[in-house]
Amino acid sequence: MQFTFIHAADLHIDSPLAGLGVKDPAVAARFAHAGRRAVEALIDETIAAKASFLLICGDIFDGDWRDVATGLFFVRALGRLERAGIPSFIVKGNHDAESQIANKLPYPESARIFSSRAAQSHHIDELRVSLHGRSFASRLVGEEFVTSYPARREGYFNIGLLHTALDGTRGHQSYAPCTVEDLRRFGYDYWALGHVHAAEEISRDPWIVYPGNIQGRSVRETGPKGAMRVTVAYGRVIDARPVTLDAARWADAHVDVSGCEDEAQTLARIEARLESEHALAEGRPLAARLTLEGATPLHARLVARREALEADARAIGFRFSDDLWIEQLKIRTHAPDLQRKHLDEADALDVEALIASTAEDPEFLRALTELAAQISDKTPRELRDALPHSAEQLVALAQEARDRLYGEMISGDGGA
Amino acid sequence: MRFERLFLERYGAFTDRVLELRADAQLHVVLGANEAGKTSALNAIGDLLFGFGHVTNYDFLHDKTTLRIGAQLRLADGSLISLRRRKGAKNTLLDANDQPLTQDPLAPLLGSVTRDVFFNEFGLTAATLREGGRELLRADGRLAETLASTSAQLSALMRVRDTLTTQADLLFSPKAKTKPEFNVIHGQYKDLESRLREAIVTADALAAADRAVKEAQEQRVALNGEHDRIGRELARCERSQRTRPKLLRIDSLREELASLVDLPMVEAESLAVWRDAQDEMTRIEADLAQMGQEEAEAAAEISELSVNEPLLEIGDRIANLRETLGAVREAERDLPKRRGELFAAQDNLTKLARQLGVETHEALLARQPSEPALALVREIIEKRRATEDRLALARAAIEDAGEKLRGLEQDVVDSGGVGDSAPYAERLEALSDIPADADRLRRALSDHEAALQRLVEQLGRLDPPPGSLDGLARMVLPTSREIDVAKRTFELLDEEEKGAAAELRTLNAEIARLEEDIAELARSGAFATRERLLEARDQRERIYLGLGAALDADPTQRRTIFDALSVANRDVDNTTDLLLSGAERAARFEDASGRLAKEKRRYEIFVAARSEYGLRRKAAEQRWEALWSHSGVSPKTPVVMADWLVRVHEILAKKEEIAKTAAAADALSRKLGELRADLLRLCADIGTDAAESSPADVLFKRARAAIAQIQERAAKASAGIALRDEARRELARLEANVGKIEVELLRTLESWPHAMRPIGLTADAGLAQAKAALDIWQAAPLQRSNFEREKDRIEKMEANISAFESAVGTLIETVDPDLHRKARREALDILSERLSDSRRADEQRKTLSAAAQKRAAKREALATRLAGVQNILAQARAALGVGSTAPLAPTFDRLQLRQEMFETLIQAQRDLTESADGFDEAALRSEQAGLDHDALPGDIERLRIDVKRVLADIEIAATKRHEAAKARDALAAGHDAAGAAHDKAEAGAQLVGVASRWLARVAAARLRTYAI
Repeated sequence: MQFTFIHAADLHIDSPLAGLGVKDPAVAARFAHAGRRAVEALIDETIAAKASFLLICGDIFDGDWRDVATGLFFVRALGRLERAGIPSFIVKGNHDAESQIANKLPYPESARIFSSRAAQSHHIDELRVSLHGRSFASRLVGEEFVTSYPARREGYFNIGLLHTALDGTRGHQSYAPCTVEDLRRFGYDYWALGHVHAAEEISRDPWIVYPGNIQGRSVRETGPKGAMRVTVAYGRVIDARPVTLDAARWADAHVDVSGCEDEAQTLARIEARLESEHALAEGRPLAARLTLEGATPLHARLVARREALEADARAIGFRFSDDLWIEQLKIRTHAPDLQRKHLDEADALDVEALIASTAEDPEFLRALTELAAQISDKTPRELRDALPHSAEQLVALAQEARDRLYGEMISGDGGA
Repeated sequence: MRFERLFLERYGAFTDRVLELRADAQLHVVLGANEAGKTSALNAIGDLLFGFGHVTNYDFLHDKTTLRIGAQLRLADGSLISLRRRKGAKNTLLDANDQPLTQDPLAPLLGSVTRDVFFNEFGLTAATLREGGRELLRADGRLAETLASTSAQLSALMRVRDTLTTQADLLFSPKAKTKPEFNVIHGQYKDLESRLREAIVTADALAAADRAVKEAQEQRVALNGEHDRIGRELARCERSQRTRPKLLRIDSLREELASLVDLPMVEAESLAVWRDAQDEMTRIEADLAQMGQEEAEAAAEISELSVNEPLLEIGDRIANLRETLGAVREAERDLPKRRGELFAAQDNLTKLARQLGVETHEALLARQPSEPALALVREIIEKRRATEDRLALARAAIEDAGEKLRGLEQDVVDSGGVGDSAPYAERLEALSDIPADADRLRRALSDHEAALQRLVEQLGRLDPPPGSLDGLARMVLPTSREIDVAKRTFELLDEEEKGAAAELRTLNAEIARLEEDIAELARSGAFATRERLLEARDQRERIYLGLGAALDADPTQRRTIFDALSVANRDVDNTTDLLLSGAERAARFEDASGRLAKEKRRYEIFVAARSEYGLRRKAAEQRWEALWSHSGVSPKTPVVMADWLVRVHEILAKKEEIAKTAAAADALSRKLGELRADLLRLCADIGTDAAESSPADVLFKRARAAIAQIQERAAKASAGIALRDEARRELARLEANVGKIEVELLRTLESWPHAMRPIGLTADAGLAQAKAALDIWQAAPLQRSNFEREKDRIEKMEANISAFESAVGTLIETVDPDLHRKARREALDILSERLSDSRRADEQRKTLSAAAQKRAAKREALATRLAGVQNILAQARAALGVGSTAPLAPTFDRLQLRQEMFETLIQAQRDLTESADGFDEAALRSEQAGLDHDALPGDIERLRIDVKRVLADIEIAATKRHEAAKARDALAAGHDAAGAAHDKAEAGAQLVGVASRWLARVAAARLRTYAI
């Protein structure tokens, strides 16, 4: 007996993508509704794959998202599955536990929501599949959450649906903490996990899989996003492969500009990098962050002309596609050591050295603190964290001011 | 903004102290002894404007939570504001009632000025001045040198600051008049925040929408119930109104039926049978009377009819003869014509027989050949004729071909002696570049001349003049980089001198103004300064010291010193008095003096700088001259010479290009010379006249024309030979063809006698003779057929006419021999007429007899029916008790009336039921018992109004429910909150971007300030 199922998690429907600064409303709209299009693609894929069922392992919604229309959209999507005769099995994650919209939705009958009070099991006798799962009742749950899962049902293909950060080593707070060894002890055949947004195949014996989220939302969530398509024959997984569902793509592209003599060379390297990123996006809208790195004598000039370079990079992006948008251009280059040596040797009043030393002056740092506070006070509270406020950030701002000032001075064109 | 009052309520050593500052004053000098609180007042202003720091030094008397400073400020627009400041983390600005101010009135006034800027630029204290001096001392004598060496970079820094500040102000500035980008996006962000809030469909909102739908539905159900109730009442009233007349009608019918109770109960069917029987008896009696009359009339009519029976028996024969008569008449008309045609056919046959040499046409028909034999004759005639035609054509073609061949052989002989042109053409092809090269050479020489002329003109326009073109090429000129360096040097010098001159003008004006102020102060009376007081005190101190040293000296000296001490004391006192009485003027004098000295020092610095600029300019000019000394050119300004040098380089580049062009033209000329020699040799070989002086391209054209002529002659000769060979081959082919045709003709002639025999010709018969005989024999069968057909037809027609006449005669003999006297055709017509009359009379008689039979049968049936009817009526009389003679009709009418009334009653009851909404009569009477029927119309009208009202309410409720459902569905579909959230995130990103850009620029600008 052979069957296929789809394993997805972390839909975070209608969770807004990080701001891109896109001016074109059409491009902005394609990014804006990418999350919903990814959900539609998940349903399309499930139907097209003739899957026997769909697993969703938590975080369907954002915890603080209050628009109930989002919930109804999800219900409509599950309704399509029901009409196609495909049941869905869902555990709620930490976000869903907080969500005000997740609880009272009119789910179709074929959608089975696992209880949060105790672990539950559903059985599909015609496939000889047993599914075990438990929903989050609150944002945080402890170790006892996993231990409450039932024992393996013999003679069946056992699947555990679990929203967990495992041992928390993947940069997440410890939600439903457990170890791979803990999961192995249950004797299940497939652990369908959710919560971690990066796809990862933790183990193959048994199968322990994070499918990742289905749509990247910021530059921290780059590359293809989607779900897992798993095929089982005679109680064993014979094929498990990721299916790409995202409707828009993020890329964090680092460009080494070491050795670049001028801006033209820098732009050529940017173009080469963008070409490869564009090819990887496979026609999807692409938001790319460019970070220039390496030692270059252009460093100060690049800092001073960062915005002009960003505009040039966007123009290059548009050459590849109308949907290729440069989210941000960051300058992480540094001046070669030779230049610094030259500064050290200056015995006259070297303006560059003067600027450099002034930038490290505590008094100047205090002034920067006041300036940062001045703009921060005018900025909406929820955005303030994005502005420099810590000591390290202020030091970085001072260094940027140093480079920009020197860059403006030597370029003499007023920067951009 | 200016301070009019400073309230030191609780600050440092002050408690409720007010510092008044005159509104019309240009300058305020705060004078006080050490520790009097001058620095505290300055810091109080700073703390008021920018807030208390986390740590303060002014809480040593008052608790830091109770520290208060206040001020009354006059703004630029003349308005007055008062505010107070407390120490704390937020809401530190207070109004007069100690309540926090909702808006910071200082922010737009201060703009980007920070505490540091304020104290650096306005808060100079003795300590900071001393620190500044120490910095200058540390710079030692290298300060001027350092300043000079970095002046260029510092100038760049100055410019950068303006750029950065301008850019930063465009991004964000609390005091900007135009709306900076930050404020614009901030507004958009707030708008989007509102839009997001509005777009979010909360669970509560959706639940409320569900409730609204439910309530609207419930209201509609309630209204439906009300509508049903009123509807029922209205139906009852209308039913009562509708059925009341019907019930009364039923009552009336029942009363009338009661008056007919004396009649026995008779079934409606029986009454109908009786009435039908009575009616039928009446009808039968009338029918019988009618039949008697008809029988009498028919008997009279039959007796009058006359029928010829014998004639009727032979009627068919007469009719047949009548039918044959038409055909006979037709034959009689055609017979002469047919006979003429028969004679014509016979003549044709006879004529044909004569053509073939036969005696009669009968003999001709006996010798007529068969159709296959005629076909063979046709075939061989056609074959012989075609073969002879082809042979004639082939022989004519041989004649033509022979003639043509002879002509061609003659032509070939005439065009002999043409040579081969191919070697000449090949040699000419090798020289084919000559025309293009000659043309190119002419154009190159022309262009070269023109370019050279333009270059010389361009050279002549250069200022300063560089000499000749060749001299210019050898000239040692500075590089453009060296000129750019000099240019920048002079520009920098210009800029610095210009700056210094402007500064000197400003300083001159300031010094003049300060000196005027000091003179004005001096003119307004005596006053003392603190310096003067210090001098007096120093003087007094020195005298004290002298007195101390002279205490052991002689009294005169002590007295003298003591007197001097008294004078010094008075001087100190007077100075102190003056200082106290004219403090303001003294302060102004001190300030003006101090600033005058400062400005003069600055003036001297700039004067020295200007001299230095002069020296630097001179040195630069010397370097500039030296730079051009090797070229021999007297240089103008670097700007002019930079352009000059560019143009010189352009000229030199063009000169080089012209030289290259000239070299190419020379090479081309040499090549043409070589080709021309070859061309002359070719012309000689082909025998063309060529002058030695002719240009190469002219020679080329002549040689090409001559070779073309040779080629044309050779082509013509070659074509003639080919035609002759072709003509010979054609002649041979035609001769072979004639042979074949002759053989074919011979074979045809061998078969010729055998084919001619059936048509009566011998072997020596010619083609025309055979063709004529064939035509005759082919015509014979048709003539024969015509003859025989006509003959048969005439014989048949004559037989038919004879038979008809015989039959008519026999008939007359049989029927009426008297008719022999008349013509047979006329007699036949008479007989036919008689026959028609007899037949009509016979038909009439048969019809009347049949009608009599039918009447007899009908009479019998009527008699039977009459007996039955009489029996029924007898039963009716018995049932009704009516005597045998009494009429039955009245009784039947009464019975009929009762029957109809009864049916009317049933119909009325049915009608009542149909209009009673399913109620029966009893229910209706029960429902209407005690009902006031007179009030019914009013009740009905009222109820109808109620129904209309409830229906309107239902309509409103339905609309309300529909709208509630629609609103709920719209809510469920959402308001694109995700899109709004995305837009808000976008705006947030833009806002952070603008803020970051502003921070980067303003930080760089501030760094520049600190660096300077």
